[in-house]
Amino acid sequence: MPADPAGRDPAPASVPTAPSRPALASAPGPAPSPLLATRGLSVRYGGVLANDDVCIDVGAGEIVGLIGPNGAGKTTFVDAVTGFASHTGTIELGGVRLDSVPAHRRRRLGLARTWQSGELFTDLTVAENLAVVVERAGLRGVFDDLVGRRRRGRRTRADPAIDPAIDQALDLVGLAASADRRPEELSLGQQKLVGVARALVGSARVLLLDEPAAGLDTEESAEFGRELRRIAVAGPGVLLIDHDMALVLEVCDRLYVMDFGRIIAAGTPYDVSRDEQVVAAYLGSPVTP
Amino acid sequence: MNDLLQFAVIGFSTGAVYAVLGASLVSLHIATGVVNFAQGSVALWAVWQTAALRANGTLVLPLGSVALGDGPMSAWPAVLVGATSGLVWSLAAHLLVFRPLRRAPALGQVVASVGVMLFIQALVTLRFDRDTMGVDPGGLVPLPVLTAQTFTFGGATIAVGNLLLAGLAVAAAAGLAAYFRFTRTGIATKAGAEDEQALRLMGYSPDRLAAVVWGATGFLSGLTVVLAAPAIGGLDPVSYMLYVVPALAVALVGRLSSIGVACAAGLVLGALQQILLFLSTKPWWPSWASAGVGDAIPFVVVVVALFLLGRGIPERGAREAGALPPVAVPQLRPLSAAAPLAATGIAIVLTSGQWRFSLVMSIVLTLVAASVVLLTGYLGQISLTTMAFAGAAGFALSKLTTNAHVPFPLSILLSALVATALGIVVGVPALRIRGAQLAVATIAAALAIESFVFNNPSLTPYTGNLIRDPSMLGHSLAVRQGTDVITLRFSFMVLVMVAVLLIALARLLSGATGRAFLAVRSNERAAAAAGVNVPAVKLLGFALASFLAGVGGCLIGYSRGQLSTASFTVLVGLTVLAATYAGGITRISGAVVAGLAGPLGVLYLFCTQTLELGKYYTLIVAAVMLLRVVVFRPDRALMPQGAARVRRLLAPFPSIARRHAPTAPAGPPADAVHEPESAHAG
Repeated sequence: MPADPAGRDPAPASVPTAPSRPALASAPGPAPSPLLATRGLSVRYGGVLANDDVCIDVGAGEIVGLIGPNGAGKTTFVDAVTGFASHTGTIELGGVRLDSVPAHRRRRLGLARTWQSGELFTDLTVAENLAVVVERAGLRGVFDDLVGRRRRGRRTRADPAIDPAIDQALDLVGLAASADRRPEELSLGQQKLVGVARALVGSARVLLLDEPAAGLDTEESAEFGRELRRIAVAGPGVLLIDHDMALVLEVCDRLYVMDFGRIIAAGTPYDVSRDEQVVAAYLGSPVTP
Repeated sequence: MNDLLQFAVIGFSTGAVYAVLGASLVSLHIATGVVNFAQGSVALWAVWQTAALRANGTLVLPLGSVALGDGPMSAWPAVLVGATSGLVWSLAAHLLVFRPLRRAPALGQVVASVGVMLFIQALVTLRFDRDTMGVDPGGLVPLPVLTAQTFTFGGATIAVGNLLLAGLAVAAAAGLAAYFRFTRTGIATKAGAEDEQALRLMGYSPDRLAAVVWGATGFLSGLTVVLAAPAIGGLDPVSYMLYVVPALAVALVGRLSSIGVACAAGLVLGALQQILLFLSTKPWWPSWASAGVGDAIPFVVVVVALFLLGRGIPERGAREAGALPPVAVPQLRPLSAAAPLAATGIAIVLTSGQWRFSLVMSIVLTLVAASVVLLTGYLGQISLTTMAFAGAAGFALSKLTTNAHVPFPLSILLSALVATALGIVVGVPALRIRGAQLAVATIAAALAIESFVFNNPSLTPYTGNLIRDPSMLGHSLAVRQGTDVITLRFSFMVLVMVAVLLIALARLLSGATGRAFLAVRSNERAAAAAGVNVPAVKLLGFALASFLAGVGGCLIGYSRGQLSTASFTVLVGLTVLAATYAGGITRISGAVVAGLAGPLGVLYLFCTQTLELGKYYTLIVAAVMLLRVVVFRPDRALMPQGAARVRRLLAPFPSIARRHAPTAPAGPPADAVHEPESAHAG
């Protein structure tokens, strides 16, 4: 591998910030201090360095793409950021260090993810899948359950009042009508969208979406891209991992390209899609956004 | 020092049993992925078979018996036939139970092996009696086979037989390990556990390969225990079955994958127990810890081993737990709760004496089984400690009422809280381990509690652990009054208390707590990613379940007037789990079934009184449970397609559709794919 311009550089400042976005000039740019920032993030699985010194920023309202060939370490990065893989280096969310914070607490702080394989709760309905995020189980939850102080709008099977946040999230992904169905009754693409809705609900500040559009057809994928834009406009930053180049190039403000666990290129979709290294490692031929 | 050496060698006899059972468990796990709780029961049958042959030459079969000669058979042929009976049982378990279940979830496999364990044990007590053995089995001891020679080494007297046993254990383990490492079929067996399909394509039959391991481990386990039994002593119908617990502990030390480590750990554990037994006779040894030390060690070993090898959250690529029985979320409607309550109340009034007593026992057992529904059915944590929690609460109740004179309702609350604290401690291993391994840890905990607390003479006065009768506001709520063995007042007190707790449980399970439980059960990683504090939720589940079981234990205690340790043994705990699984472990109605069918409940009395089949009770429960697990599998939807169609048809009528949606069984599509594959099993 030739030396890469961005990933190996120890100075995080060299990671491109302020992207130019000719197509979507109206969308807000990344904040001066990004919402999510990783510095020198490395993950080692046995003898394999799955992530090597990864520095990625995601700003509020920004959609950032993370692309790369299979096995490049993209999912490992998401695992590390959300607390499912032990790592070195630092992770900050809104200036708060998350390195030693357990996974569930990272979610409550607003760092939400989806899974490549859906990973929905099969025993719960779609709405209940989202309710798990909104509710807090524990002694307090036991007390609430027992004495019936169910906060207004909470959805239970017996009492199908709808939490507005749950409905809103399901609406955003177009699945409000499926709220009472079981995940296994939905198509794979719809299950992925339930995963996105589950990540959205409950004040998520940064969404890490791991191949959310796999399983959608071209039309659905384009619709998903528009939904993603609407979501980002509302405030949260989005890190999007996907192999659907049309989607990625269409919706992302900036792109990072990962190969062999390292960031080999970063920049606007236009720049990245013309980067020789990226073309060689992943795209195969130049793509026009 | 000489003493220590001497006792260490004495410990090789039990150590050899642990080592061979442990090596067998590891081998079976390598070959099939099953953790076989029935390994000890198989050996138990072999010991009794050998004893029967040497008593009067009878080959005892599950039905009928064959005389293999006129009189007692000589030693070695009897040993060989006995060990072969272990082989046969092991093969039968493979063909009839585990092969059909090879893709079942861990819970199904654990419950099935517990069923086999209980089934063989119950059969041993039934079949080896005065009729088949010609003598009273109570007076028999296992006759020695190995040499009784001893020699002196460094001042210690060493029995040659014990060294031979250790040698046998090492040889057995070496043989099993060599099979997996050096033979083509052994390597193929290992591969088959990982990818059965690929192995079939290579022209091997995974079933036949597994059968080799099942047969070999059954034979070796039988042989070792038969040879070691005279040195260990005693011929009773339970003990060798429970040797599986320390054996599971050493198998876990070998991470369920190293036969050599399991064997070595078994020998060391046996030696260590004997040395501790010796040290506990010393004057400086604290008297409260002089009983049950040997049984407490396996639990410590398990916890340490599991903590070292377990993981907080399963990583990517961790083995899927498999489909679990679908859940029926309780929907509380006043009528559906009131009707059975009223019916039970009427039944209490109409019955008297023994029948009312067993009805009340059934009510209490429903509560205990409900704690299993919560912990195992909803939260997915396989716990075999339920009855030990109940017993611990009963124990605390005895101390609180007799020593501290704590008044009635408070006494139950405090005792149940003691059980809760214990439940949280036992739940700690669950933070890092799951599935069958958790079952191992919890059964070790149950055994430790049983022998360290319930059977510890220094904690129990000679008069037994008495419990003062309850009374409230000057009214006695005592269970007995004059000749009435169970009063109406007491019965209704139990009914009200259990009903209140069950309604509370239904509310919990249909609320946020139940959803969090189900989220953890279905996917721990996704639950953590959804903001659920998985460790806290697991401990909450253990706390709630042990509280419910604790209240149950207190009610059992009050109904007896003292703590009867026989009500809380590991065996009773396993029977309760079995009955709950058979009744439906994911619904409260399943707990009711378990209550009716459980030990000393209504069904038990019906068996003893009406059918005069009391001695068959455990056998019947085990058989029904095995049928339920293997044939009418609860993890498998009966007709998922049909249910979906019904729901589609009902779609225009949302109110009906919604009512049907949560209860309609719907298996995951992946399960349906396997349907034709294992259909021949059912």
